[in-house]
Amino acid sequence: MPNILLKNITKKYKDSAAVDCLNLEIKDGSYVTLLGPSGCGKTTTLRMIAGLETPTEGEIWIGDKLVFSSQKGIDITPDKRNIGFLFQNYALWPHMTVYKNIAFGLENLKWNKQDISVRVTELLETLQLAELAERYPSELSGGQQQRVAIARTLATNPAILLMDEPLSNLDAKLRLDMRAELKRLHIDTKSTFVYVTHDQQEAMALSTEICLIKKGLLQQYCQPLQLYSSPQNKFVADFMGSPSINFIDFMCQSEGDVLDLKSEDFNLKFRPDDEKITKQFETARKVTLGVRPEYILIQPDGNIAANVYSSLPSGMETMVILEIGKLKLNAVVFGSKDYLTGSKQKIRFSGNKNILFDYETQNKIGLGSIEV
Amino acid sequence: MKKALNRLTNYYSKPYNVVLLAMILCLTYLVVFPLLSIFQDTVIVHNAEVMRITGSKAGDLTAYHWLKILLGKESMNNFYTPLMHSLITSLGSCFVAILVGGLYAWLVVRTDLRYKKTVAQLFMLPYIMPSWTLALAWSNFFKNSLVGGTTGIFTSITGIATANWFAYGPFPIMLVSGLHYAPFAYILIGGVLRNMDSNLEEAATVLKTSKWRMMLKITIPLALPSILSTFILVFSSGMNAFATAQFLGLPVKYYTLTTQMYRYLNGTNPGAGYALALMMIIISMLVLGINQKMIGTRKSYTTVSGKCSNISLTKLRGSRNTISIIAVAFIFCITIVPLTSFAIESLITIQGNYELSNFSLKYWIGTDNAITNGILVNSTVWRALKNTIIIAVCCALGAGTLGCLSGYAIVKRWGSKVSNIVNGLTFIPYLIPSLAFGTIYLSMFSQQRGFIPALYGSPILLFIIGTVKYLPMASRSGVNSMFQISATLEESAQILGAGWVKRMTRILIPIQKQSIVSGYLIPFMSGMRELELFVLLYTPGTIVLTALLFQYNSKGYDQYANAITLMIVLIVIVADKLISKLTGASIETGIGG
Repeated sequence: MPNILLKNITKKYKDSAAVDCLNLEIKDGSYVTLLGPSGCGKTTTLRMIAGLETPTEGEIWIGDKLVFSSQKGIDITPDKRNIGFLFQNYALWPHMTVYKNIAFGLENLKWNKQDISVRVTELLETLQLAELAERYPSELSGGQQQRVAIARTLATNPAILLMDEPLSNLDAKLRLDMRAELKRLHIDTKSTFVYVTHDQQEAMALSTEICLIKKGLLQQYCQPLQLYSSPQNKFVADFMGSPSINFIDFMCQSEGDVLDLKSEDFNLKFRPDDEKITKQFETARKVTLGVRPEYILIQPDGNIAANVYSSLPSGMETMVILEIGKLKLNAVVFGSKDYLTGSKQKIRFSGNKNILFDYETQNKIGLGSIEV
Repeated sequence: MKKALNRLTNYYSKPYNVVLLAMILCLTYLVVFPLLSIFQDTVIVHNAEVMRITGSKAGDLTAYHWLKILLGKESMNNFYTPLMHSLITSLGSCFVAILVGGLYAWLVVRTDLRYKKTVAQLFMLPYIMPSWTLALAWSNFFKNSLVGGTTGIFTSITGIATANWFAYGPFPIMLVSGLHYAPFAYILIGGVLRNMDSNLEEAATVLKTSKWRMMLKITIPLALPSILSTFILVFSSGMNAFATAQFLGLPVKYYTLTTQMYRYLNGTNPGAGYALALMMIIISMLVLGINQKMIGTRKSYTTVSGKCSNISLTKLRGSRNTISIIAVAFIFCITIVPLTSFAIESLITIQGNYELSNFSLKYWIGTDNAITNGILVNSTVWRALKNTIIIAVCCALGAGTLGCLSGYAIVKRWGSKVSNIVNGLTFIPYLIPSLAFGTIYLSMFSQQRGFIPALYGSPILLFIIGTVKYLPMASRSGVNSMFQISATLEESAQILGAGWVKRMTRILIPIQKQSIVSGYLIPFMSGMRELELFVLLYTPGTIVLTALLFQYNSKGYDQYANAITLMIVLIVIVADKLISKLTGASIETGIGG
């Protein structure tokens, strides 16, 4: 079972780089998501792994086989890379029935008719398509087409499954259902999944690792929860999490073992995990504090006064947007609660995974807890 | 009552309904009526036939014509053998056209072939040239001593006498008309190959599909609708082709339905000629029906998903240069070589003598020639040129616009009865042999009918018949291009308050500019090189270049004929270039050269 290794992969279209010097190692059996806003180069990366697109520079290894190298002039065709590919628009062949679509790859491998029939029937059963075997793609719903596409890709048991936004054309409920199915599929097939999406919740829910890309540049590559709790920079922090993280700008200066944060609206103290951080702030400079919505608590004994700008209950939790002076903060309150718009509330900051960013570079300085 | 009125106003407030209704009215008059009148002509006695049908007078009902061609003791010679010949040559030319055109389309659109621009541009030439000029060139090169006179260039150079089957009859007819229609296949198949969702093929690649299997199981089936429509177009053209069959078939008495029909129409038994015409229409309709069945609706070929541009080109690898050179050389053989031969033939004074002293420009610019002035200083030629251009442009505008509009309306109401009717009606003219069509229009419009004055002798008659005859191609192109546009694009403009005219001119037409322009270009080219359709309708005042060419040819003024052929081809090439400069689209760039 192969690892996938990308070394200095660059893809240029005319002058602009869609992917810029990307280094990535995808471990065997993992479920890696390439995540980023649209146009960031994630689909291009996936297609380069598949061999559907040719990188301008760099090397790609699948297992111990060098499948692409710009220097050595190696470019193995997609059919020899032992991969499966799931297209965003499913790419089902309109002139073939569901059965034929699924059987096609097996016929290529010269399976005999009997074995093909057994395998296809098995897949049809698994994906609940048994009654649709003789239908044509145009006669299927979106969800059914999606399942046929998955069946077709799985038929040949590829060790690596590349998926390009496979859920983006489905409706919300179906999408949630399919998430669970995909995660099961990953466990059941023991294949390596490389998955492209722009939906951070999907990425969080599904992956073992997330590779977050912005404008062709790798931002952070780690486990989803780490990406969430310890983002490398402001972009990562902002991209992950819904509702979004709150950013508050402060002047920061060390005061003993805490940092003194001052702004027009209110002042805070930040106690970093790492004592060395305080040394950086012997002279005052600007920072951005990142506070996750769930670390803002609305409590009668809170120490900061805030107005409710709007309150959006969903039953299980309520998203509250609070106003402190000109500043707006997202907060999440768990449980079935609602707040009157415009009402006055007291809040407090909790948690020890608040994030301090450098105002200029926007890079993470460190994590810590907030005191008032 | 009011409800019904509301429904009616609602129905006609939709532009596409109005278009469909207007098309039905016009086409009933211009297509269905002639069709019925052909049928009528097969069962009545014509003036010329009074002598042969004893005891009859003109206008009587008779079964004579049908009995003659279907059951009479000469029916084998009169009908069944020509029928076989027509079927063989039509199928053969379909095969040649689809094979050559499809292959070139694939090479240009999907591979890293070299000299694509040259290939794409030159490949249009056989279609621009009148089909019988290729036949003429074939005969120039390969004619043997059978017909008397000098032998062809091939025999003069090599000393090898060509076999009859090679010089005349079905083989060259298939080849010549197949090559003539190959550009058609190239345009239609190339268009689909270019716009096809590339994911469909990538999905197959990833599943380890071999090149051949990909071709046979994915690419060709996906292109099948356009291959089949090419088949229909070429088959019908092949059935209806007259000049090529006349030219290459006659020396070995190889009659097809058209040449047989020409004998009847021009001879003493027009009724039998019409009966043959009707048989040809019926055969073409049968083929059309089979085609409809084959495409079916279940498989819904929405293979074109938006404008997908990233087609990965197949690498020809080691054989790239060889294939490129063969591809270009072959095109040279069917384009530049015949054209050069026409140029040379138009310059030599005594035929068969290729010495430099024998060359002269007198057939181009001479004013003291024995026969008539050189074509560039000849008032007849200039008049014919002016007529040709006016008529071709008008036919192109007429057919192109109607085709685009009806394509829009047909697609909008796709599947409804009225849409099916219009779709069928627009295609019928293709199935009516040009000669018979011309004959019918001649009798229809030679006297005043209702508010329509007698049109014989007026260019309007040529314009009308050209527009109707070329409508099938234009409306096919219209339907195809409108099918590629998602309905939501128009609907979103509608929601933003854009009126119908604005939606057409600002949204739909710009998106499909290239294929719409080709919907105009094809009628224009057809109009420029039309002969069969006009040959019975033109008068000295409305003479067109091809008719003049035919006159010169039949009188044996070979140098003039060759010069005019060159002239026609050059004008169309210049026009094509001009359009591509002005609109940024042409048939060549439309297919991605």
